[in-house]
Amino acid sequence: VVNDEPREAEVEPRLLLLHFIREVLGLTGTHLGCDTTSCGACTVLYDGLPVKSCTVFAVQADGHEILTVEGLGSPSELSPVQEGFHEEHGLQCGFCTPGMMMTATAFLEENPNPTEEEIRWALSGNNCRCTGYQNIVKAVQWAARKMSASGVSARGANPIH
Amino acid sequence: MALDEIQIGGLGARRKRVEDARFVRGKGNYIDDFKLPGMLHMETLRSPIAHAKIKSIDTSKAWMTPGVHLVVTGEMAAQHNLAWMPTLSYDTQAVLATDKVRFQGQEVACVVADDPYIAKDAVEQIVVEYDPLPPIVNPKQALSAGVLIRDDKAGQTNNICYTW
Repeated sequence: VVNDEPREAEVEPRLLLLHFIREVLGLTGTHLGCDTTSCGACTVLYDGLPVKSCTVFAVQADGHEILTVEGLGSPSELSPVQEGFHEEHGLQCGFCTPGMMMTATAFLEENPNPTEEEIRWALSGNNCRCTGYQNIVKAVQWAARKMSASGVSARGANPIH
Repeated sequence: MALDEIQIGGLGARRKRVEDARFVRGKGNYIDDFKLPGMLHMETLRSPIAHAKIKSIDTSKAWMTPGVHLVVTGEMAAQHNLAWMPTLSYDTQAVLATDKVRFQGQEVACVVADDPYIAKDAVEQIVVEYDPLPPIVNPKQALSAGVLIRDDKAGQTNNICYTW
């Protein structure tokens, strides 16, 4: 189940979840960065937990809930995390952004009122080569404030699930 | 008027980026996101050794892997005068290693195939025989005589390739 939509395909046992999402489903928001579980660009939520999809086989996701960046927010409204990245300039080239936002989304669902140190620790598995992280941390703080003020969940006003 | 009272509209003003809308929705459309008809994938075989003579490269098994379209070595590229390319500092740089490898991770061969998995499989089928040479691991050692990395360059007697 990807972004609340049941998806079925016959795949090679070794096909990575990342390639399944990108090539089979055509959801290219999830990016292949390092291919070695280091950079976090391929992060998706697996039953609500962030995983690096370049290190998960597609077959391991059979019967599980996958959320990708395409499942954040709704067509008309951004999720608090997406909005925060825009408001606080949390991206430049945008390549790491989907992975960053997925990690941040799972983190804020677990800890809606984090300290700066907790945010930095939570995002330590995601690399950004543009921003120096300062604005990414601000973006997550922005999202946390928006969530507590509006009561909207980290995934957005109309969470697909 | 104090500086912070001036409504600056240009330099120094905080501006929202218009391109964010697609980036935060996962619609960035990077090179890797393109899918074109008949598109093939390339995988590179890299040297595990920092400095070594290439004794032989056997690509026969890679060629036999189903789904493989092309296996290229430096020797093949050299036949088309494509093994070495000019750089911006009037130097030349190996595209694929020919006579020897000069750093760890140098490109030795590449495979073009139907998909990245097949290309990777085929790369693993390439057998390279190396004759290891002494490596240089720090600048001090590079300056002392003994090991010459760029022995392909006429008249090159040390490891200094460019001075500015």
